[in-house]
Amino acid sequence: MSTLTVSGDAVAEPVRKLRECRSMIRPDRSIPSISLCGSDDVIQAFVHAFQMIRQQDANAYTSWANLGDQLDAAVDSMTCVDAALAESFR
Amino acid sequence: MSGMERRPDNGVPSVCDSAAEQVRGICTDLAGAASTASSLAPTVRTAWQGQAGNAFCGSLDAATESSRLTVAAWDRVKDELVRYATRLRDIQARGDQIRSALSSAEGSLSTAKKTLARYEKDDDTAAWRITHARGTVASLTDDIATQTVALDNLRAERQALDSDVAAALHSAPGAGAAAWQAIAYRNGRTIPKTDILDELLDLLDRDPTGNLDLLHQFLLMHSNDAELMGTFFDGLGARGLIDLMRRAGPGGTATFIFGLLATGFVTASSGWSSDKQRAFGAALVNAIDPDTVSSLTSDQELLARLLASPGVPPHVGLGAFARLDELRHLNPTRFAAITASLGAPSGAADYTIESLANTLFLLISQIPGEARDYFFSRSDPTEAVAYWYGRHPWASDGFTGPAALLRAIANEPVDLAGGDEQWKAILEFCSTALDNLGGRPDYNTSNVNPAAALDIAIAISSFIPEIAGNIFGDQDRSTFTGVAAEVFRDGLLQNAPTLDAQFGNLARALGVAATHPSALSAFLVQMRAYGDAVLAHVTGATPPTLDQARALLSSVSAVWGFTYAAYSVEAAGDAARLSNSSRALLDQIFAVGGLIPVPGASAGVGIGVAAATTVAPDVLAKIIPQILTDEQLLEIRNNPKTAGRDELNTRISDALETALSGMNPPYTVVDLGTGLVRPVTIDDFAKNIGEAYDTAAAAFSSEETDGAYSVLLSHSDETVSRDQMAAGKVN
Repeated sequence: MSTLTVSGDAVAEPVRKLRECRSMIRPDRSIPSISLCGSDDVIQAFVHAFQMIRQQDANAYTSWANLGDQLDAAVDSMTCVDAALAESFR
Repeated sequence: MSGMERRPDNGVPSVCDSAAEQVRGICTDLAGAASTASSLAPTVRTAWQGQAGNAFCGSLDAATESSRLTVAAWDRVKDELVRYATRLRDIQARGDQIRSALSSAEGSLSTAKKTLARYEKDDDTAAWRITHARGTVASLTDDIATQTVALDNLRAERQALDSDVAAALHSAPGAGAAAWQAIAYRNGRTIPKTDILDELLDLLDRDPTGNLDLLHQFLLMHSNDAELMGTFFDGLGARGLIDLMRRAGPGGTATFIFGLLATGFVTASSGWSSDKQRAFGAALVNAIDPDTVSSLTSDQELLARLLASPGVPPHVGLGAFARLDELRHLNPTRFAAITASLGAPSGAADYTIESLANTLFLLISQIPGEARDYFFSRSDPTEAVAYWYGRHPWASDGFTGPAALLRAIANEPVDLAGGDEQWKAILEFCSTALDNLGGRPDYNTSNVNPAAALDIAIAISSFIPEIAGNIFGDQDRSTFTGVAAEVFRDGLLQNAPTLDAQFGNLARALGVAATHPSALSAFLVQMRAYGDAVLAHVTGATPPTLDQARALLSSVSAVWGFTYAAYSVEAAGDAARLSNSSRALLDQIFAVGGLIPVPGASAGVGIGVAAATTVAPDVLAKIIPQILTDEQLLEIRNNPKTAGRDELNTRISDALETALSGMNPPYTVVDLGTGLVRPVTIDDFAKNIGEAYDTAAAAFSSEETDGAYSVLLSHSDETVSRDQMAAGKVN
């Protein structure tokens, strides 16, 4: 917080782009169907793999989005401190 | 042979193609997001420097690296689906050929059998015909057997393909996938999350190293799941976490797990009550074993890295800090081991490790009120503040942690509605901290990094009214400044609590910080703000008495003189570390008094503190020659003290000239020569202003005056001169 050396402008774009990741998270229900492929083993393995990797996928997007929030909060708290200081002698 | 038995190659390959296409799209999205994230890192790295910024970029890099594992996993699934469809088509083509040959042979066999039966029934049929017919039947039966074997082989091939693809898909999510599926999808059903966690914790407890891949897979999927992480870290406990970090930590065999573990910890701890956060922080300090070094990494460094992760709740840091501070008394040996300098691994000259204590100070600076309450909850608060600011080794951290906390406490929002107890406590904390900081020999230009210098300068700038109110007060400046003074704050001149720091130490605390251009610049911006507030008050609608006005204006001037003395003694004493051009830049910044126009902004607009902190020294060096003439620059170089005073005089005089002419009734004064009352002139003020500046500048930079020039050492009762301190002649 205290060692932030630039104003929020420089990180506004990173904050926006990181937060946008939240909208990329896929809903749980949509698994492509391969039920006509002819092998129950393959179908089951595909469903399990898909569920796991989709979970990884969602977790990755969430990590970025959370980092965007944290970056924003860091810039905000810095700006508040400086604004309060500048006002204190008035 | 039944119809199903004839079709071991059943299935619709195109469903796999279309699923592969969907997976390709998902994979492309994620790969694109990973590229975007890595392209953002350099921007953030430049914009946000210091430990917190480094930790943020470390987390961003770790998140992006992990996402690339997921991209690779999607790729594997897509490739398997494409391979499966391709192979299935090939098998089906051959299956069609076999079935065609089989049907044809079966048809012919049926006919041949009928022919043979007819021949055998008819006594007239020649023997050679029957032999031939029997040969045909036998040959066709062989053909059918051959095709049936081919079909069996095809079935085996299909089964092998199925099991190969299924195995590849099972392992597609990456290392640990099979182990995870063994827990999560047992007997074809999905197991409840709580049961999965129980088993996972049990496995990690029994064989942590053997289950690191499983842990990695779990975190890769769920490190942001508040419920799962909460339960997981509850079950793991502080000791379990430290143990896992030892195995997974930077320098360990599974470095990639560390970032995910940190993310998981942030997720879990963010959901805890502040009491639980503090308790866990304390438990973490209890759990580390300062003698344990896993590969390159000690426990205390692992903990420092964990707690430096962005988003760690500050109360975790407060709990850890409180425990560390308790250990200082309860177990000094353990305290010394935990806080011992970490040192760089051999061959890594640029390798810097932020200490655990520094990380904790940065964390608790986010909750300054509670951090301050902690210090005041000690049986001897002054001793605690004095230790951490006066004696704890901070040089390898560049003083960033203590500086951040000082700044945060100095700038705490104050609610005066509840009395001034909070403000008094802030003053008490900062007085002790500044007294001790200024009194330590290793607090010098080269050990204090620019970020810390900026924080310290801004912290001290919060007390400009107190410094001004006290600088030529009734108190003996060789002793403590007392706890109350006439202070101009919030537009009112009032008797108020003030800093209780020795002025020599305060001058040194400010002086060392102000040898960094950004810090000096930021301080001067606040000086100017204070001066403007005083000028507005003195010439406002309800002006103070003339004596008060004079005292106030003199105090503004005195603080400028004090500031000049503060940085110039350090700059001169530290000449070995400070280049001539750096020194010249400081003098120029001082002379223009914090009024640095922003390039591109409308002319004459000063920048506020927020912006001042962003102006890099090289930018200042470029701006200043644009607003000063060559003659002015020469004058500053030859005599910066006078240049600073003249600039200040001009500015105050100009403001007064405008204001006094418009005042009704005017200020009056009894002329000493004539004994008559006359309107006050600018000269009446200006004389005081110049004198106050010179007196302060001399008092704090020359041994010829009094004790204001001396510094009380933090680690002994000795008093030394600032020159000796600045020149590094005091140990």
